[in-house]
Parts: sequence; structure tokens; C-alpha cells
Amino acid sequence: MEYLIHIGILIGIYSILALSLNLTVGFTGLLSITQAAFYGIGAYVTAILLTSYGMNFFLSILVGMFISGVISFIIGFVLSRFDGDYFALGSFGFNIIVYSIFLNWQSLTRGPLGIPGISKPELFGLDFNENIVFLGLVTIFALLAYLLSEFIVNSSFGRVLKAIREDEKVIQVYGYNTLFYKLTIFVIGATFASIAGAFFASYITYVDPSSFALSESIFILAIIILGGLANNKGAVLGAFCLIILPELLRFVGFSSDIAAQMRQVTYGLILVLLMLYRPQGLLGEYKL
Amino acid sequence: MAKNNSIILKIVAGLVVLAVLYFGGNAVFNNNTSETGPIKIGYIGPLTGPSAVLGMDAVKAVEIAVSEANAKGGIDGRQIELLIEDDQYLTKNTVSAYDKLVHTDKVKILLVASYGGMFAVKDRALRDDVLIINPLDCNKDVADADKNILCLATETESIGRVLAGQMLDEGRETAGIMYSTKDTFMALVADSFKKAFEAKGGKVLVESFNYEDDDFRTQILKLKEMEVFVLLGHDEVGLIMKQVGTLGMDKPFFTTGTITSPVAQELAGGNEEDTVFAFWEADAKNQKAKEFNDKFTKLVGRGPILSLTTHPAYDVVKILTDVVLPKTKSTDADKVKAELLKVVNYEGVTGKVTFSKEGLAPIQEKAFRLMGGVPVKI
Repeated sequence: MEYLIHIGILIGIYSILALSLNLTVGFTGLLSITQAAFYGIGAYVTAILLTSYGMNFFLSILVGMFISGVISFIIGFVLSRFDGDYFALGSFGFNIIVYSIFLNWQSLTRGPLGIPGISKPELFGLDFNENIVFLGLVTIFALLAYLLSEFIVNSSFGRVLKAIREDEKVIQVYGYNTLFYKLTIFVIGATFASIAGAFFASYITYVDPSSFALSESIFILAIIILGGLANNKGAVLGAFCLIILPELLRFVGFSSDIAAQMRQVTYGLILVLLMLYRPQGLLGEYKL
Repeated sequence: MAKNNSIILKIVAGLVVLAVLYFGGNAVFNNNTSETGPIKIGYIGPLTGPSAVLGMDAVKAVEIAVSEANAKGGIDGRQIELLIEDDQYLTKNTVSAYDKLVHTDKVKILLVASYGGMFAVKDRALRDDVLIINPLDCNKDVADADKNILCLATETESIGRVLAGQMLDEGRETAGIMYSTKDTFMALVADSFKKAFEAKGGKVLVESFNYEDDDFRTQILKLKEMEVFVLLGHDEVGLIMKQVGTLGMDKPFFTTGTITSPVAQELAGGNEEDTVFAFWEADAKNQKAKEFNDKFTKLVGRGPILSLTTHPAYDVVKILTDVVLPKTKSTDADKVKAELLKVVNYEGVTGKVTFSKEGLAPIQEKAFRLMGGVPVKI
């Protein structure tokens, strides 16, 4: 049961991440490969505030959201000058910069040594030390992220985002300030990701830079591509599939000599097959 | 839309059924935890990915130790069952592997060979009454007997101290460090070297590099005023040596045991000769180590790439199966831990093993020099 709960918690955390990236990539058409940076910022803010200052977990989430929001505003402003592939490259570079900061600002982040001993959340005397309770908390936040994403994309604001994705120049002709829309959704996506980071830090109780490398951004992107871009259910479904699949493969009876390697090969093969037969993703409404 | 919903339902239902069958089935049928059925020992470490070299040979060493115990009839007639999980040296995966082994397979004794992962499962081990032994890194940060974490491995910090000591013996006063940020290991070595060298008046400049880097000339040029280069990385250390040579510098190199790797030496292109490095290898007179090496070579078709990954892992399982489990007759974490902490001067392939009350059984590295591609003890 604990193992299932653990997988459930990871699905919850990655659902928030996928929903956050879907707002930027799926609904707005901005190919961002930097979500792990904001995820990491949220995780490190929580780790530092909880271990060094004894701050409440929920307050640390708010601080993480604020810091991610400010940084994403600055980065988004810079990236707004780019389109398409150039935007992707710029965001890619930002992920590398943040990763390098995690690694090299040793007085703050302890560099590659990471920060251990991060505590679980507490609220009004209620602690979330039991994993089942923690799962409940993550599920509530994932649900809130889902509902908020649905609200955003179904609002008039969301319709403008989709219009920007389809043809930015046309929507500009109608007098819309597309920079404002793109920047706003980029910041919202970043703050969502920082919430996921806070949960990750508190759940795993340890953070180090390797958890927020570029490969993690690509993994989150793979989740929404597999689940289907521009569909919130698809983002959650993608997180579910990509988290549970490698775990299921632990139970396939490969010989111990090749089990680890075969897991990787099988995992990759399944993804390739899925993309061959569903290039738009499982529930996709938009293709990159 | 209806078609989409149908896809969701089919996929989710399929995965849920599979999950319940696998996880639930294992949980129900794997309840022979302590008194009956095989005695389970788990191993979590990097078996794939860029850090696989730290785990792939260690698994073979553990398999040899387990097969030896089973060949002798196991423990009171109970066979030892080894369960292996790959974590790719990623913290998140270590936790997943831990939860699978502990909660589904009901394993109570685990060897965990991932630095960050150790910290992530520390509190879980205490909560779940699981004993964890680290066969790869051993220092005061890792071991915590009160939290069921022990270690039998080379002491990471001893590498830095050995290099600093040798450098001071040679009368060197300045050193330029280049270390890989791939994992915590090299950062720890760099830190311990810096502390030891500076404590004796030495001057140190530090540069880092990323795992994927293949051009190190910027860092090399920044450190060019330093007397010697301390290179802390994996096979790419050979490439750094070559680039130092290409830049026309003639610097003495100090590094870790990874320079014994044939790939690193090939990359170095001859510049590696005379390199001083901290290394651990079994005592040539240690008969048990010789026998282990022969068995390993017979099983794998070559000797261990890094003895510091294989020998401690082998000793951990041998101590468990030869000394501890015959006394405890169960995998109860408290009982096994108590017996392990009583181990004094166990004659293993790593030498004489003694656990401190904090749970440490550190192995000290020594200074070697590379001569004709072969390590020669200084």
C-alpha cells in the first residue's frame, strides 16, 4: 500500500507540473523547456526556509511562488522577444543557468551535496507525516491546479491564449497586447511549478541539483506531449502513464543480469509506439 | 470527445488493473517476511545511466556473496534471496525502489549505493524498521546508527586528505582543483582536499565542470599559475590531461582511482604517466580477496573496474550471511543492527572490518603513482 501511495504522490506532483507546462506549451504555443528550473526554485526555497529558518511549509510555498513569479516575469520578458524554436532555445538556456546556480551557489544550496532533513508540512497542529495524509494534501493541490487551469483556459483570457497559439499576428491586429498574455501565463505556469517543487522537497526530504536538470524539463514536456497538448485531462493522464509505467516494469520478470537495461529499453519502446500511433498524444487537441 | 473518453477509460482501467495485480498480488503473496521463506536482501544502486559504473560490478559482487551463502545451505535452511533495483543514481528513483522493495517485497535489509537517495530514505528506514547499509560512501554524514543507517565503504574524505598529504610531502604549495559536478562524490573530495591542504598553508584555486563537458581549456587556463592540477572526475579526467598537454603545460597531476580506467588512460594519450592518485585495492596478501577476484573474473569475464565498488559490497553481504544472520535468525532491523555493531576485526576482502558505534566501517585510501599504466603504491 505504501508503494502505491508513493506512486500516487509522484503522480500528484507531476500532474501539477504537467498542468503548469501545458498552460505555456499546449494552450499558448510557447515551447518552453525550462519548467524544471521553476520546479527547482520552489523545491530549494522550501528546503532552505524549512531547514534554516523553521518556516511553515505553506508559507514557504507562498514565498516560492513569489520568487518563481518574479524570476519568471524577468525571464519571460526576455524570452518574449523570441518566437518558436528561438523561444525553446532561450528557455533551454535558462534551465541550464538555474541548474548551474543550484550547483555553484554553495553557501546557499550546498551545491552538489544537496539539502537533507526537510520536514513534512504542518498546519494548525495537524501534521502530514503519514504518506496517506500527504497524498491527500498533494491531491487537493493537484485538483486545485486542474480546476484553476480549466478556469483559465475556458475564460476569455484562455481564448486569447489559444488565438495567440494559432496566429499571434492576427490577434495583434485586433488590438490585443499579446506580450501581456504570454507573460502572464508564463508566470502562472512558473508559480504552479514552484508549488510542485515545494511538495517534492518536503516529500523526498532531500533536494540536490540533479533532480532539476534539463532532463527533468524534457521529462515534463514528454508528459504533456504523451498525454496530449492543450488538454488538462491529457496532462494528468500523461503524468499518470509516465510515472506508473516504469514502476510496473519493475515487476516484469526480466533476468537480473539485464533487468535494469531492459526496463529502459521497454520504457522507450512503449513511448515510441505510443507516439507512432497517437502522434497528437492520448487526448491531444494541438500538435507542436 | 466520446472517443477520447473511451481512450482514457481504457488506459486508466488497464493500468489500474495491472497495478493492482502486480502490487496487490506481491503484497498478498510476499508475506513470508521474517520467520519463513527465503531471507531477503535488497540492493538499490545505479545500474543504468552515466553512473552505472558505481553499481553494475557491485551487484555482481553481491550476487557472488549470496550464491556462496546459498551453496552452504543458507541460514538455518532458509535460502537468501537477492532483490535488485536500479535507481540510475536519481533520488526520486531511489525512493521508488525503496518503497517497492520494502512495502511490496517486504525486504528488511537493504544495500543502498546512491548518495542523495540515502538521505531521502533515512527517515523512512527508521519508520519502517529497515536496516540500510551503504557499500559505496562512508562518512559521518552518511552513517547514522540511530536511524538504522550503517556504512562499509571507502571514506570519501580520505581521498582528499591522502592527496593533500602527498602533495605536502612533495613540498608543493599551490594547487588548482577541477572537479566534476555530476554527483556529490567529487565535491566532497574537493572540499576535504581544500581543507587539508589549506590547513597546512597551501593555496588552492577551485574550478568545476559539468559531466557532459569535453572542452576544459577555460578552466585549465584559469588555473595555469598553480603548481599542480588536482583533477576530480570520471573518465573525462583523461581528456583534461590531454588538453593540458596540448596547451603546452607540464603540470603534475593528482587525481582519484578513476585514472586506472582504460578509457581514461586512452583519453589521456600518454599524459597520465606519473600521475599521483588516491586509490584503494585489496592487500596483495589477502587470500580472501584473491579468491573473490577469481570468482568475479570467472563470472563477469574480467576483473572489477573499481574495487571500491565491489569489495565492500561483497563484505557487507558476507558479514550478514556468515556472522550476523546465523545469530539473529531473522531480518529484524534492530537485532541485525545490534549484531553488526558488535563486528570487530572481521577478516574480509577489504581487510579487517570493525563497525564504530555510530555505524561506520570506513576504508582508507592510499597514495599511488601510475607507472606504465599500473598503480604503484607510494
